[in-house]
Amino acid sequence: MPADLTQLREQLAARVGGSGGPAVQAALATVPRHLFLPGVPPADAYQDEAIVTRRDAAGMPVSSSSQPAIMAIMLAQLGLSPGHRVLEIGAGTGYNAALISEIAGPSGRVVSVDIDPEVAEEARDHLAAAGYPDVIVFAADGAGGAASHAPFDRLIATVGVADLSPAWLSQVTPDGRIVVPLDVRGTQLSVAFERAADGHWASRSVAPCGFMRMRGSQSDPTMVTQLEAGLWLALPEEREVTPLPALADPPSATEGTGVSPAGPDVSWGLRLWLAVHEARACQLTEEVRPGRQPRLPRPLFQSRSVQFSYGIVADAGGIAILTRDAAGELIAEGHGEAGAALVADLAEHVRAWHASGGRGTEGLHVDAYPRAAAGLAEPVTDGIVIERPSTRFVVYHT
Amino acid sequence: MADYLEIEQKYEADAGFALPSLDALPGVTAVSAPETFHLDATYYDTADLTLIRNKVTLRRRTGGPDEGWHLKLPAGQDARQEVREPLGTAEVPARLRSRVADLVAGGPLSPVATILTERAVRRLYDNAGTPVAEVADDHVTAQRLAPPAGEPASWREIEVELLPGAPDGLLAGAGALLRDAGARAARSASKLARALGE
Repeated sequence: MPADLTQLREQLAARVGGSGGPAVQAALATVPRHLFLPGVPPADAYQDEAIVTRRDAAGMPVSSSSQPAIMAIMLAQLGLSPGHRVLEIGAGTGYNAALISEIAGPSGRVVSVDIDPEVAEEARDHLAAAGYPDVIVFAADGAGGAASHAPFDRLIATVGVADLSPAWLSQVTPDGRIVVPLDVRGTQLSVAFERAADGHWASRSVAPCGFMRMRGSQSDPTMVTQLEAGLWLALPEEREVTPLPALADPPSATEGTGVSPAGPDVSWGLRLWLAVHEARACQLTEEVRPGRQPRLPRPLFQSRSVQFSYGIVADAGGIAILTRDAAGELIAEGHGEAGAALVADLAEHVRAWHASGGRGTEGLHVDAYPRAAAGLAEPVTDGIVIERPSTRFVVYHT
Repeated sequence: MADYLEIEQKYEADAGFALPSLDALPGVTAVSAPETFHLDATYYDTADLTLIRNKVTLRRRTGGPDEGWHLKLPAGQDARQEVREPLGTAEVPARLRSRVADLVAGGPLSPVATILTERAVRRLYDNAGTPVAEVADDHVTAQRLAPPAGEPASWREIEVELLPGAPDGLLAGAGALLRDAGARAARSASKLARALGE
């Protein structure tokens, strides 16, 4: 291998591997990612960027290899040791399986399942070319796991999921661990689960991953309603809300929060906090059009041509949204009859979030109660409950 | 903070660059017609660029949804705090001046660079009809006013920004199409840095 690629790979490992721990960092410094990305200039393979890996007949990109920093974090959560038997759901290019194989070592075993036979075959070829011929790759629906190779000490999904497949739970050893990118009320979180004493699955760690999404995958139950041209209301789950008062009118109630956080802390941490502490949470999105009076006159934040606000929407006749004043303080503004009560609740959420240290995923827990497991105690109720076909999830901060 | 999540990528291109069609990207079902903004920004600093060297920028910008005075200050790792004032006059607002008084030790603040941007923004929509990303196609003309003042410089810049809710892989997909069409990864992190010749 050319020396400059070795150097680029070591730089990548140094830059993103720290969050993954020494074993992950060493794997990043060893596995030749460019062999998993044929057709990509080799030097580009060592940027900390998602890279397009497949295009359709018209040349349109249809899939990509994840950003290495996200892989490093998920692998750190997985807690791999030499000798581990590992199942990967979603083979991609095979690069992640190679990283796992590098850490699990010759005494371990890595199995990767992908629903697309072509993807599986290419991953197998890349793994062989890069010196990992022992990784088993086959084409199947990942929801079924890989019963013929079970049990596994570790299971990792590289595709976003909204539920835990019963097959995965049954194929993991009693002290095994599962890491999945889980859709939690509009945000994708990487959650590492282990079995608790009573048989439910408790999160051992929670990290941000992928992109913040309010929708996207079919499994994501987020509801988006167009209120008028260029203005949308998004709710983390389906709910009936009556027509909203006009947001451009003067508010019926206003309450300062005393908090002036930085933009990214708001669009990540506060958004997540509201989603997991407030059943009535909502997001408003508005296009900015030259010459049109904005419906959100004081947005919480804006990009070049779109602006956003977060808030609480009542079932009937009221909404409170967050705005920013010129000094950067977050202000809760209420509209409609219920406005006064809603602004008090919204301002209190902001202060509680700020008092917690402006938290995002720190201290966040996700408990998973499989429906198939009989006799589990009722989950604690002081969290947001998310019902999915195979699992009841309870999300809370401690 | 999720400081490693990429939500924005910047490219540069030649004057004749033609923006490729982006409406067939995965997760994208439509692209808006371009909306044009004429942005006229003047950056203020001391003659020896004390603010900029301390990662502080102070500008007055007309045009676009956020016209006015913008003071951006570092606020911890990778974060910036932004303080705004209405457009007013070309006189630095007293409240913003006081925020940087310690840094500039009472020294005068005057225009150090101007940046004119002819911006065409296209929004990318998902199948629910909501915007998931925007692509800004900028024609930039910049002039350094601080000594040593130079000739005006012009360039083309294309920025892709993901909005909350963007599908996985959209940034990489859009980037691949822009590269196919001849765009290159941008060398300079900011328009101001390039305007100042840094």
